[in-house]
Amino acid sequence: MSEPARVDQLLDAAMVAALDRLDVISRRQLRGTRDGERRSRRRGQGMEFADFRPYSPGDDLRFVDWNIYGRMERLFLRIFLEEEDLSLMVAVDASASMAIGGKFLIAQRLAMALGYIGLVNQHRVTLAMLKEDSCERLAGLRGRRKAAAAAAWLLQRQAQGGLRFESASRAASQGRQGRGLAIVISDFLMREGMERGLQSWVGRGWDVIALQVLAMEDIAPSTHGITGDLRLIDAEDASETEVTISDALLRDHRDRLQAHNATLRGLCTRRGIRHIAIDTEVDLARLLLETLRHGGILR
Amino acid sequence: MTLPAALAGSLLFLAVIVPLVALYFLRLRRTQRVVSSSMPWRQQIEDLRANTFFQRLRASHLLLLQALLLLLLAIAVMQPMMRGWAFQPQRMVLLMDCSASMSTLDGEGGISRLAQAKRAAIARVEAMQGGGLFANSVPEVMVISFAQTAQVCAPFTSRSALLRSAIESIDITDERTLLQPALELSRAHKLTSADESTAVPLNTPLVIELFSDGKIADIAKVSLRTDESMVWTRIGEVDTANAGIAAAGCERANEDAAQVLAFAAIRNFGKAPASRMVTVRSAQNLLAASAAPLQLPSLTLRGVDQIPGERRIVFPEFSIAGRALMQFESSPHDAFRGDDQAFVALRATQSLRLAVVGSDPSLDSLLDALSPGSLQHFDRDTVEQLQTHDPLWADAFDAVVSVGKPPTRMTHGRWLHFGEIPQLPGLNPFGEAGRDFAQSVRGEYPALRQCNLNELIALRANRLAIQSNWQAVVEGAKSPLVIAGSTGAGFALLVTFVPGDSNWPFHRSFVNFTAQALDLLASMSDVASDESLEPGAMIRLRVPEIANNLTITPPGETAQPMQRRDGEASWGPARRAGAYRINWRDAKDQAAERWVAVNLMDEGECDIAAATQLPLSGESLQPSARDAAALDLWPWITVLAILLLLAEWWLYHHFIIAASPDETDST
Repeated sequence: MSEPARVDQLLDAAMVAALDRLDVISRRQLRGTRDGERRSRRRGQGMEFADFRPYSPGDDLRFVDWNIYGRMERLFLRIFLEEEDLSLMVAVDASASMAIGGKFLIAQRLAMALGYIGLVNQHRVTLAMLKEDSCERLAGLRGRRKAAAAAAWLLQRQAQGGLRFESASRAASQGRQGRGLAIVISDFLMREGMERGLQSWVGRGWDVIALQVLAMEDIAPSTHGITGDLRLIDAEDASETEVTISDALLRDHRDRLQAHNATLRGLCTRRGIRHIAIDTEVDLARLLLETLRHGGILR
Repeated sequence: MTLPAALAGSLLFLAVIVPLVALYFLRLRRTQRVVSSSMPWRQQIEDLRANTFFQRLRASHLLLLQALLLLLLAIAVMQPMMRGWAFQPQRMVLLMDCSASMSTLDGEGGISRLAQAKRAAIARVEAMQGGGLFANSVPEVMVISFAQTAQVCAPFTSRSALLRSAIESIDITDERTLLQPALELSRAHKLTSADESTAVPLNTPLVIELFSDGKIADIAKVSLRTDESMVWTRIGEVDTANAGIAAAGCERANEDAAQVLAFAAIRNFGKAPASRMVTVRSAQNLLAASAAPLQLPSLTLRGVDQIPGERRIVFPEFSIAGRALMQFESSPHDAFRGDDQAFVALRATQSLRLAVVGSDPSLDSLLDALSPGSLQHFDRDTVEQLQTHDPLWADAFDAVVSVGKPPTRMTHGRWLHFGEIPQLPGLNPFGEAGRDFAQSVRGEYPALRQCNLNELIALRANRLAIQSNWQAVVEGAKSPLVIAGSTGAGFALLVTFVPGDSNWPFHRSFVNFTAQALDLLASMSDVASDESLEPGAMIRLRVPEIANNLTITPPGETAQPMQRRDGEASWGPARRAGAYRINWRDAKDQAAERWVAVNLMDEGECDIAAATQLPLSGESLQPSARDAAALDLWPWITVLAILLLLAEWWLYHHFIIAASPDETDST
């Protein structure tokens, strides 16, 4: 699968039209730094009425409900839910393992789609590439007109090198974007640092969605040319493992992969992270318009 | 499984398995594949990383099949044999019969019974030594060959190479079969072991394995002890027939000594009549032959006895003046060649030369009646004078007969003396015994054959004690009556009484004794005996005082030196039948030659039909059926290897090729 060179290879027109109607759902009421289109737990200057409370000296007299004062001769303030912008971070695993089996392309397209959804909903969108022990970041995107810049930035990114997920996650999650929704796209086939990496997102107040992308040769290696006597080379650390593929070995591989995924799911459940696993043969439109919507990630 | 076969199989396996595994790894071309993470793979690989070599073997069914195939082929080359779960003794004696009947050629391919016995014994040794990891402690085996006598070929040992070599080295004899000496020999060695650190208790019950055709002369007298058991492996066929020479002889005619009369007897041990031609030859010259094949009746049964069919033949006279070796031969030959020929050493025409010292009427008349070639009478004083001038005076005669008081010097010559005991080494006279009579007689002694001395009474016998160089051939109630022994450079037969002082001259045994004694003494002189020996007997021959380069040439062998003591050359025992040639050079450096005939006439050995059972210790010992249970495994292993090869071919085509059509076969 060749690398995308144009924006429409990431997001075609039909998809754009479909995404215009969607928004991301955060399970938390988050406070942004700028007014946005999202409800905030902060009572303040929003349009949506929330509650009354007794007046206290110093309160803004513009919010006093004079009708109640007329009937009850007591001062009450009307409290509105302040509408804040959502900080949306789409963090993509840009290690070399994502280049295997077209996983990085799927990740790029997902990041573009989710970022686009954020942009059109006036959220503060940050795109991040997790690489080695840090991250590359394109921050401060807001509004539809930033979609081209986001796409260009994504197109320039490549999956290569290793990834220390814990360090890279810590670097990405402690940015100044403030707390919000973080969508981490990765194959999560990492030997270490997975739990601490995800914990760093949660620990800094992010509502985290873990999107696990697996290639078909990760899931069913025997049907994708991994047979016979092989020298397996790890895409990230270049370590070599000599194997002779047998039925028993494939069964064991499948069991171990399922156990690893179960570990990831358990970890996400314990941390309040939503976990969705997809493979590279997934229909992206169906994923976005059905799967993610039904999963409560988009609306 | 023989040692060479086992070595060949092991070498084959080692020679092929190492290159096979090496080629497997060298030719293993692993395809490089980049994967997202080796983590799911690595975890399980690490479980097996302790032994990469084994991991590779485990992963390769094809290599394992090939190694198994090779292993099976190697085992097949080793020619294993299954003998079932037979009892495995700890200490065993292999008794190998090497008697005359074991030379019978009735084995498969015309091999002898002894060769069959060797094969069976070696197979038995290898079966005991085999078993590999599943073997019990290795038993100790002793090998004894036996015929008339027994000898240890290999002491108790567990070294199969030594046992095999000992069994192979056993030679055939023409002796008769006696089992008792072999049993006694095995019992004597029961508590010994050739192995320094033997793990087998020496007091283990003895298992005796007998490899024989069962023609054993003393089997009725043999009994086993309580801690002994015997297994009999019968060698040979029970219906093998044989016909051969039972007796042969030559005599010179009384009227003309140059004329020789030959006669023979032929016996048939077969259950069917047979016919044989008999010829007489000397130095390859045909002297006489039967006019037509002798028709031999078959073996007949009289009660429990088996009577062989027999015919006798007297050949027409032929003329031979000098000494000759006569060869009797029956033809056609059968499976048993031992009795198909017989030899007779014929004396020269020279007549007996006798000297008589002293006088006794009955003896004088008897000597006259014997008509020797020359008979000279001397008185004792004359002899003393003659011996004073010529100490070797007595050697000029074939025998000297003296009566009464003996001459002073009797150390040379061959003497037959009656009366007073001479002063010779080893003789201690101590007075007169007075009236005495024969109490025991050695009837097998040449001078005493067919001599009945039961009625002999000596009125004035001399008493004496003898030392080891003398033997008493007739023991009286009080003292030896007849003794024989060496006199230094001569030989003497001494009768301790004068014939006239006894009733002996009135008995026929006196004539037989005197004639045979003179014949015996003459045989010790230059006149060769025509008496034939039986296999197993010692060859003894009087030779001149000066006989250099004394050698004996057994039939089919090279010349060997003879032992010589007290004027008598000896060699033996003569274990093979045939003509033994004795050579030496005399005082004038002239070559001298004598022949001694050893003939197989034993009826038990010539009846070569293998026994059906052995009457041992009052029970009937049946032949072992162990060989029938032996099963060669190598053909089955070879078939299994071929099936394995087909399985590998099927596996290769249905799994390897089908599963990875774009992959190159890794092996």
